[in-house]
Amino acid sequence: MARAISSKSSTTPAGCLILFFSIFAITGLAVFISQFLIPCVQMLRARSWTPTPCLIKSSAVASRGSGKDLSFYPDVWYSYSVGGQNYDSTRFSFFKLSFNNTGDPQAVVNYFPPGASATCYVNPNDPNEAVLIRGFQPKAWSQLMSLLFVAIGVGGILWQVLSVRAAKRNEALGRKSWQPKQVSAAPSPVTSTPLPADAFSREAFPASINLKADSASTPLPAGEIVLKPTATPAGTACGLTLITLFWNGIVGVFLWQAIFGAQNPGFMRVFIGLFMIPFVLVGVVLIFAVISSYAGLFVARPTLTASAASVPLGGSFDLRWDTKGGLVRAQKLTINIEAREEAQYTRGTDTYTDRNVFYTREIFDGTPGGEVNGQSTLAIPAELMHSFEAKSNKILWALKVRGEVARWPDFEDEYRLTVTPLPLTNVTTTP
Amino acid sequence: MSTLEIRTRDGKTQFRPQEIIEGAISWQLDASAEALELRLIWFTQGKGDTDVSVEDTRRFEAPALSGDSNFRFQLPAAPYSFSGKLISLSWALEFVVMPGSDATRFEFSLSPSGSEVLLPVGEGDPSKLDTSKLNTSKLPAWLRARVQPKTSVLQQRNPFEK
Repeated sequence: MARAISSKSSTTPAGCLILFFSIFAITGLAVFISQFLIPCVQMLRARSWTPTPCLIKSSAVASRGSGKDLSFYPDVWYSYSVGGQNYDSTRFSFFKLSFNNTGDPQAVVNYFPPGASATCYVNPNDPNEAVLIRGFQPKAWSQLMSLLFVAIGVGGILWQVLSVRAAKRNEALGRKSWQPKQVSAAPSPVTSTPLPADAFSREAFPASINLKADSASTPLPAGEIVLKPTATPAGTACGLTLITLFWNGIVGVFLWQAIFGAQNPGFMRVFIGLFMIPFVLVGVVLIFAVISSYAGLFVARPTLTASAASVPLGGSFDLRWDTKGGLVRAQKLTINIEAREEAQYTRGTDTYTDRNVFYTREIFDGTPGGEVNGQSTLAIPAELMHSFEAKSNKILWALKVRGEVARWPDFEDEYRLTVTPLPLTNVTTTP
Repeated sequence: MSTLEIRTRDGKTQFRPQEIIEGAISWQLDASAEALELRLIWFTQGKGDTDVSVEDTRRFEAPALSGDSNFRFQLPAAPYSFSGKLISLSWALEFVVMPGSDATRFEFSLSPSGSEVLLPVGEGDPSKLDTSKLNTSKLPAWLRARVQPKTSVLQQRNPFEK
């Protein structure tokens, strides 16, 4: 007796991810506005404030937080007189001053001892408003780190919104005709909707839905589409830039705190510095990857044009490639078609993807040097498996374009193909 | 434990896209059930997490403690049953007592030829793959079972061959 089958897969709704990224973005924005933007605006306003003699009534080093979050700041109370009326203020600076040791705030307190006279700056329109130090505080630069959170949050939201829109568009176009109708933790009733008899004829898959087409390009002969790579060079460069900024930003802050944090004794600085070496190396590798990705933007890559939007098992299609433009030419160019299995699985909290290429064919292998044009007719073996995409398991067909460039980063682009099941007219009925 | 059986017409285990799969189910329950459900499903096995899709169902509300019934489904055009190095996809009829966990399953293959598509184990041209020379002892157990002659699991589970 078997148990009802169940799935180990789980889905993360797009709404949850958008909420997650929204929290990231809002938190980063709130910190940026409150800790950097508003103080900067106030600082600029205060340039027209009136210098006024003031008397320091008290000054001491105060603390906020506890444990690891314990920080110190100068707590200064001063009074001043405008138009014969006395006013009090405790605003030392527009920027939030917070130190992880008592040394710096104590120096401030020593500079403004109780009973000393100083100059504060008073808002002529509202004498209640005054500040003792109206200039910029270099420590405020660290608040710009909050923009990284904003970038990650906004980037994540855009990614999710675009993914959902793409999914809806594909669904509307019927792209998922042989993808799972339901992938669930516990099977539940689903109404059957058998595909029409001509579901896999070429007409049933209009050119715009199965292969990523570039509709902005010049008009093509009927049925032809320009293929788009799964990852564009510009997109890769932007993504790598964001990741590198984030990684190096975080590592940089830790490194700065470790080396220049006054509370750390000398041996601790050395220890933390050594501990950080692998993280710094990853950061350096990322920087090289970013440079390499931007260099890749200048390489001439071939444009692939297919004669049909999809191809059935046992069918064939024409592929044309043209290399134009670009500042740097590939010395060696290869184009292959391949089919592979992709299995995604979780171990603990990590997700892994294993790939196995089970079919590959060389389409072009040459040393073009200059511009290169070519075409070939590709036949898809009838006895293999059509494209298949479930949540964790996939059969993917793709064109792989690899270019070797002298003294320049090589490139490898993938163009996804949709191989449909055998046309039903070719399927004989079981005796 | 309840006794559940699924039988296909002529004990058939190989089907082609959009073909009709029909047969009979019979049951003998230990206790009254809310419903019985016959599901047409496909599922994946192998290295990846399991994907499951329920393509069609037949539900029998408030069934008697024992009984039988005929069923008939039209199979979809895809996906095909296949086996590769990482993934295999199987079709099955699943007969479930609700509520509870009693169930039985009848596996079959769906493809243009009727038998599951065997993906080449390595890269290359499948037409050049000589399956007779495959050293199956080096394959993972779940895949080895797939490339060996399939009298195996499906027929053992076929009640007609008891």
